[in-house]
Amino acid sequence: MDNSELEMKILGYLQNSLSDADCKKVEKLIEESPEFAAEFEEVKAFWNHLDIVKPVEPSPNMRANFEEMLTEFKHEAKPKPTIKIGNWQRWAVAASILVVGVLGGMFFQKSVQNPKTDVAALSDEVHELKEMMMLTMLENPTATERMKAVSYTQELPKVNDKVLEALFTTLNTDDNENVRLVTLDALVELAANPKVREGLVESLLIQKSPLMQVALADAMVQLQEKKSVKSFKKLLENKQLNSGVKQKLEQSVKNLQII
Amino acid sequence: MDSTTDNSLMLSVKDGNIDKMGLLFDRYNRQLYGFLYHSTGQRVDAEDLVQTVFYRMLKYRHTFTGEGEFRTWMYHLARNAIIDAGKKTNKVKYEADLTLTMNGNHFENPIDGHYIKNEEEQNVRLAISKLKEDQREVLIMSKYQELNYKEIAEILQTTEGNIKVKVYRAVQELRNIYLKLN
Repeated sequence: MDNSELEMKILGYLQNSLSDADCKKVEKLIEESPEFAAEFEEVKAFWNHLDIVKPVEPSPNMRANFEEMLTEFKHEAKPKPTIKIGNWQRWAVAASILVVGVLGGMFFQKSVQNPKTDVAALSDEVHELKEMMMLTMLENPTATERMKAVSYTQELPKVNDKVLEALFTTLNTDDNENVRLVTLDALVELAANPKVREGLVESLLIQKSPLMQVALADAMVQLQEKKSVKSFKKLLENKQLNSGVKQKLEQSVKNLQII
Repeated sequence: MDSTTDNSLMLSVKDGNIDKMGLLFDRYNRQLYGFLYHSTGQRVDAEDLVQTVFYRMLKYRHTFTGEGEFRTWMYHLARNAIIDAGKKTNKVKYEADLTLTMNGNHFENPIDGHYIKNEEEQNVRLAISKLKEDQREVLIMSKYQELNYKEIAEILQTTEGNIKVKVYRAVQELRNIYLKLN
């Protein structure tokens, strides 16, 4: 057996994964060879020293998020009811399709005569529909749907006050931290609007979670929003403030004051 | 078959008893989180990946045959989830957790106020983070996930002998890095 093979056996010995015969070989070698014994002690000490790394606990939210995912999965997995249709119903469906086709044709002919107005009207309707869908989805009980709703803002050509209000309500009151983080990202994208910047500064004093406070601090530095310094200072007066957040805010104030 | 073994619970999930997944979550969420946290170095990413792995277990439950161990299957899915997340965001590779910041002579986690006072622990963590990805993976599995060589070989689809060598080299390399850090 060469040295590396022996050293591998040391690890196996320490992990109780050697056969009895190999264990005895290692023990015998420890007794007979001072060099091997020294190497054994070194590897053993280092291997045991690695136990100093304590397991990191997940946040309590993880269980809740799992439950939410499980409920949603069960809902999605439910077999969808199918409609059985008879012969006369098929005729009725065919007739309806025919009527819709004829009406559609008439509409198309009309729109060819006046294409611009119709296309614009159609596009407005699509946007309105998207906006309505987004606002409805923001009230969905599942966090994934709410996150999806927030991502729809990117598809809206114009973000009006109603949408902004809904986004800020989500940012400041949604129970799920991930949803709030996604909303913050969406709002940062809209920061050209002064109302958005103002709302983000206000949110600094509303957020209670350290993660959100840190994310908002980063956003303020990214946007170079100097008006936020006042809110940062107010937050820093809170003696109960998490010390990591405190450091982050102090750093952000420095960054905003330097530039 | 004992109805409380991992395999029988997963087979039951496969048969439509979706709620049984809750028992498997209770059994393995911490262990899986530990693996994913060590692999990504990020708490938030690790939690998201735990959800991804359990979601995939549900979605692909029909692929679980019960011939292999549930634990091995779970680690397969976990490794794939890490790879996919890396492809999507191009950022899920090991990075030191940004929530750990230096404060005096100890490290503090601002998210939950958890103090890791032992600088030694930080040095070991730092040394682990400097290992090559494949070395870090086998070391974590062997030392911190307490998987035996046979299980690791199954997960990584290689031989037990190969894993022995890999773990040995990872420990040697870690020792060198650690000594340099000190």
